Amino acid sequence: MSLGPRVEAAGRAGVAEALPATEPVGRVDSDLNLIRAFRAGDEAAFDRLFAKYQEYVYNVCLGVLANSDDARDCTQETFLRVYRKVGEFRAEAAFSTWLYRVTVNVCVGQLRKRPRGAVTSLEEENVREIADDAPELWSGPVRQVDEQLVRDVVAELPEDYRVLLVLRYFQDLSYDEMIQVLGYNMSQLKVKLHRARRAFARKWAAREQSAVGLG
Amino acid sequence: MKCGQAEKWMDAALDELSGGTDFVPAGWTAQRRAELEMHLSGCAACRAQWEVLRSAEAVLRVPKPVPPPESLLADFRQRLAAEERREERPAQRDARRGYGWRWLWPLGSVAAAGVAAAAVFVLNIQAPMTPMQEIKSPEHRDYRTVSPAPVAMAPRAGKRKVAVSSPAVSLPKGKTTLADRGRPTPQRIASAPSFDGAMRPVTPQMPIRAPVAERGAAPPGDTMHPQTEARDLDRLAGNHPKESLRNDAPIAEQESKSQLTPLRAESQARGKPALSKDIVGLAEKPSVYFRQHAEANSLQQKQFGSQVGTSAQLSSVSKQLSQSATLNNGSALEAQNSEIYYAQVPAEPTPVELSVSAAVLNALQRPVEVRTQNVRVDDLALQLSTDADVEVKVDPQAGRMSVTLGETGAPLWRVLEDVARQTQMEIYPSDNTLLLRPSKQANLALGLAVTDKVEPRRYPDARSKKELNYPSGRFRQDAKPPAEAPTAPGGSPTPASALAPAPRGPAGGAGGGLGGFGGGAGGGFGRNLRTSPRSAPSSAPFIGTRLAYSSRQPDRKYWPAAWGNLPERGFEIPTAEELPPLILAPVQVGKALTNEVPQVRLRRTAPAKPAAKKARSSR
Repeated sequence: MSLGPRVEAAGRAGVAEALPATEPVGRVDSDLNLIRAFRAGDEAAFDRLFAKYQEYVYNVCLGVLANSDDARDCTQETFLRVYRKVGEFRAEAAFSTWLYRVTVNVCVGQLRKRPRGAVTSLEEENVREIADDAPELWSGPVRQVDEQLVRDVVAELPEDYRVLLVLRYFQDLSYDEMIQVLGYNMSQLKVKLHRARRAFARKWAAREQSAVGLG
Repeated sequence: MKCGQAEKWMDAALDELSGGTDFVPAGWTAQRRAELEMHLSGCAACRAQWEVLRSAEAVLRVPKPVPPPESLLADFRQRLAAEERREERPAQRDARRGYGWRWLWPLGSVAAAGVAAAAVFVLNIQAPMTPMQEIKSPEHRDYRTVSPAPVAMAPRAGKRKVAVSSPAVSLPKGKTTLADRGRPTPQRIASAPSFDGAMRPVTPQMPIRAPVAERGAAPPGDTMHPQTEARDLDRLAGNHPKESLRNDAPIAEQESKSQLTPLRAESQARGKPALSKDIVGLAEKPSVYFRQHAEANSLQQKQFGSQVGTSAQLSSVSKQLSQSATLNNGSALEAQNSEIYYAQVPAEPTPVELSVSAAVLNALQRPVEVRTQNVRVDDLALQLSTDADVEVKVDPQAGRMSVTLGETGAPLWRVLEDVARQTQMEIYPSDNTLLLRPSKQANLALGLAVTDKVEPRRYPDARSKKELNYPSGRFRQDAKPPAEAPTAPGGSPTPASALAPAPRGPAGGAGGGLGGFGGGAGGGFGRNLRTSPRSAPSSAPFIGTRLAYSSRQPDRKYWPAAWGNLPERGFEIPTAEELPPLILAPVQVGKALTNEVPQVRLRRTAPAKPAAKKARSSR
């Protein structure tokens, strides 16, 4: 697909200068190669990047927004930004980290645009069963938990807590990755995660109690 | 283990959970785990908390990655192409049209706006005046009578300039022009007397306006009711506007109510903004409106005289009325001229009597003992009231601010000035009371300056210390003891003490507060001047101190115009011969006065009546 000259110039400018001359190995190497190829005019390279990270981005958006349509839009918006602003990627961190950061920014922007209180439906196929054979103290009883219900409760939290829990639990990011994405230091991250956990726990307990009362 | 430690370990346990449904922390030792288990088994609260957290942790790991929609990439490509087309469209359109002169569009809109303004101007002149204008906008009558009167043609602090143009439009016969209505024309401006700005000295002989009866009949087309005209003019220049307003209130209400309805309807029909509360309130109930505002600004009127305060208020309201009429008419030129008009109408240059009593002047020079750090201003005011034997009031909004004072034996005026400096307030006289109110700048900041923390003055104050050690030469010369000066403490007042009359000693101080020069134990006069007040002997406590302190002149920034020239005179009580010039203070006119008068900020408080009723009913 042919792109406009302005978009190409704006989106890809500076990538060749910013990327390191010697290509590292591993995932970053692959991402850098794809970015370099895209900069050289290979549209298929961007498609491969898209295919590689679309699930990541979509799930982050879905976790934060708790709405599949919004997640779809935000995923497109994220890759649109990446397409146009890939020149700002300096390869100082992994491309995935930069991509997460862009995704989080897009999601937060979307959260601030839309009104609160999005209601989502509960679907049977999302119900999962928690079962473990750990000792009693460290494990809970076998229960059925609705995924969408969890996402809904997460979506009721403040946006920073929401992003933290999504990255930590839904995306299994490590502390170091979260620090790079969110820009916190370790203490801030621990404190915020501590508060986010408790906020979620309170809301979840309240919802369970109300469900028991209704039942 | 205590609960706090257990809570930390709970976090650590949650942090180090390996994921999935395995809740055993990976990096934990068996000993820590055993300790936490022991505590959780014995502490019900911690166990309940752990249960909640563990449950939440398990629940949070339930959502698994969801596969994205299959058409996501295709949708993205479509969206990208649409964005491209949208960005390319303006450039292609310009290319098709063969020009890239988009920068000329603003010029076209400016030209269109000019044509529209000219059309509105012509329509404005040709259209008859609305009844509201006839009654509420007195411009066409006062310019007829105030001769030559373009007083505000003088530059008004960089505001808009008067630009009276003579557009080349042919008026139909029988229609009045701007010049016919008495608006400022270039000829009138040229023939206008010079005016030196917003402040003018009092000239009681200056005629503001001729009596209504002497001005003859109104020109054709002016359908102003004679009673209304006389009343409005009396409002603007009368001696007792508040009383006159109350006396003729029924007439005003009857007339203005009849005019308010079409004004509202026309405003709504045109989609213009609603009338302001002041306009509606004045039109519906003029007497109530002015009574309410008079009560709200009673403090202001006390300071500046009821005439000045009310006329400024009336000018402000009249301006709003004129703007509302302009809103109906839709002409920006009308608004401009209206504002010019009200700026041109000067307030009555009535001499303002300074309501400063001799008791206040005496109290201002009394030394007070103030050494405080971070004390609330209202508490300090209470202390100063006790020490100086004069009531010191503080604006309620500023009373919670804190100040730091490190001076002992300074005269009250200096202490008040320090307080005013630290709290951004001004000192006003009010009969036998001193009033600390937020300054104009603080008022303009919408109370932010009042609530913000003001950096307290350093203690000890380096400047005052320097003044104490090195007093200014003028006061050292002035303070030379006369040959017949008494040397014993408690003697009769000396001429120098008359300079700062009736100093009162501190509570329980020796000498009754009146001391003579050189009365200190063993100290010469010059030595007294160079002695710190804290080290001065108690038998001659404040003589040298007072003189040294009075080497600093009051800063006019904190002493508003209501004080006249008393600060320059060191708050000396004027003699009988000096009284006439003293009571004449400059009077600000027109809009400048409105800007200068600080607004009284009213605090909304919950009504106490329901509580009283409730208490009564409970009995």
